[in-house]
Amino acid sequence: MGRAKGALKNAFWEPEAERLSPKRIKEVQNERLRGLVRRVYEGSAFYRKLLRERGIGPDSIRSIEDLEKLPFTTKEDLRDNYPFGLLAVPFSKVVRIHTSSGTTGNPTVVAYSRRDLEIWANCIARCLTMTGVTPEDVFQVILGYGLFTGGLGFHYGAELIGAKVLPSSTGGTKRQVKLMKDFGVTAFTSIPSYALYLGETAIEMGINPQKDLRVKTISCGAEPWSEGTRDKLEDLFGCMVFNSYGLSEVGGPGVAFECIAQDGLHVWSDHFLIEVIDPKTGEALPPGEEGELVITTLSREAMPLIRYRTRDIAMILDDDVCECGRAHRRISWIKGRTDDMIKIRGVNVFPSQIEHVLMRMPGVGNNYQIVVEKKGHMDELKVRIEVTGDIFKGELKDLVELRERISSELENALGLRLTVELAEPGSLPRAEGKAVRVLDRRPER
Amino acid sequence: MKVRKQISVFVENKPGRLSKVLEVLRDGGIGVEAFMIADAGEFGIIHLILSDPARGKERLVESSFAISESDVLVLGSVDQDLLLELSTELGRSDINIQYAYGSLGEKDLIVMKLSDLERGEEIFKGILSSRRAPPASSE
Ligand SMILES: [Zn+2]
Repeated sequence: MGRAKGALKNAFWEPEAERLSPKRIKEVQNERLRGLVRRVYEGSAFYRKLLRERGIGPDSIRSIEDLEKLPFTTKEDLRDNYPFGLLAVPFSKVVRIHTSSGTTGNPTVVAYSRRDLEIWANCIARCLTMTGVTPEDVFQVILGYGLFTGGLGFHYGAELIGAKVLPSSTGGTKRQVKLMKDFGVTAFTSIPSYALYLGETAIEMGINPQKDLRVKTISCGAEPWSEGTRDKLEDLFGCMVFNSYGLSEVGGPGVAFECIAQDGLHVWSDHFLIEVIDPKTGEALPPGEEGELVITTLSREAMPLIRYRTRDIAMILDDDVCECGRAHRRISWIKGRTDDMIKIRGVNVFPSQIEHVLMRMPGVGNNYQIVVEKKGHMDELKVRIEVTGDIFKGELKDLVELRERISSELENALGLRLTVELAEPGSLPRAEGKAVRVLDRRPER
Repeated sequence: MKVRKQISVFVENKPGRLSKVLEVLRDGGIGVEAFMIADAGEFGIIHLILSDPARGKERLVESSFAISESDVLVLGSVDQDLLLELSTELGRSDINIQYAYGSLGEKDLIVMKLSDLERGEEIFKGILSSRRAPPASSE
């Protein structure tokens, strides 16, 4: 691996905040939560109404133990109050506006004050420093710039560190690889499926990612992925790859990030308060139990959110201080989204579970598609997988055996009967952006 | 008789796949001397003997087919008796014909994929030389 783990043990961007003890973190959270409730009570008509309805006054919330008294905020609330209904500061204080693309209706608006932008850049700088980025690095931002929070978020964070930032955005894969090689890029961030595509494209171009490129650290996020894909990326580029988590509604990337321990993602707990709840009942779940991630923004000024329901499924890990020296709460990888969850014959299936099985099988391609159809009254699950030159040895029986092996592994993992189909290379849709993984052909219910 | 490279192409079993493969080869000016389609339900393999296997492979890979190459025994000037003798001899030597395709007659060409190519080749050479060796009494 590119960088010695030992050297990263003392890599802190804001050492004081990052090394807070568990006790101090709780004190900071208590204080900031009280401040948050007071701020929204004064500044936000939306929250004032919501809190009054529940009989909560500006000083009713004493500590994070009172969190469950507070109402949830949902994506619908953001849509219904489009565009600026959730501002908690005068409009004149807003210095940046992003949106997140909605498939239907209004997009979600995210507004930032100057201080919000400063904290955001510092959070990203913490993430990058934690994973080995220094002022010496040439950092390629292979994420969309513009309304999407990813590109500009990483851009300002990396620039704050003093790295040489290459704002190459998305698309033009061969040009991306060329820049990576010619400029001696040492670190980059992109969505995971595109990182794989970049590596494969490099190989096609006769560039060996391990020998001809100088990449030493990579971070990926913004779409569901699995540790199997991470292993594949680490093999491809010969360096560590870190999971990045964030969502535009609470400000974009930089909410949580993996450290060198690669054992869960640290949520910057001085700025974000997390809970995991049962998505059906709304009840808080203890560490180790999987449920919907709920985030309260403790520091945001322009558009703070209280108990925002992310629809992401994850769990909180135990609260030991991590080997990297941080006590900031760790969460698991995101298992899926409450809305990506496919229900097949009564069983909940996440695309990431399927991906995880496929990635563990040597020679199986990165490209697969999940097709759900209705045959009579029964849901049928079909997984289509592209055959690559690596798998194909010219013998029919090998392919038949491979198909059997994949279906039995998948059936074991999901507890569902399914069919596996082998597809020709390049025949499955492969967007340059997010891959089209799930095709649900069942009639709407 | 020759040991030659066979190019095998993975295809989904749906209409138009053979024509796509043939089109790619034609556009590359590569001749098809023999072929066979083997199928296993919703997918199959097209095995090909090409005039220029190296370039054929290149063109097919460029068109993003999954391909694989292997060595096969290709026999010309084969009659039914010779084929019988060869297969009997291979059977006796415990060499499996994994699959074979071709035709006898005017433009005869037989392609054989064997479990042991080298020994199969020797056996065939042996049969041919023993056929030639005896004095041409019958003629
Ligand atoms: Zn850590």
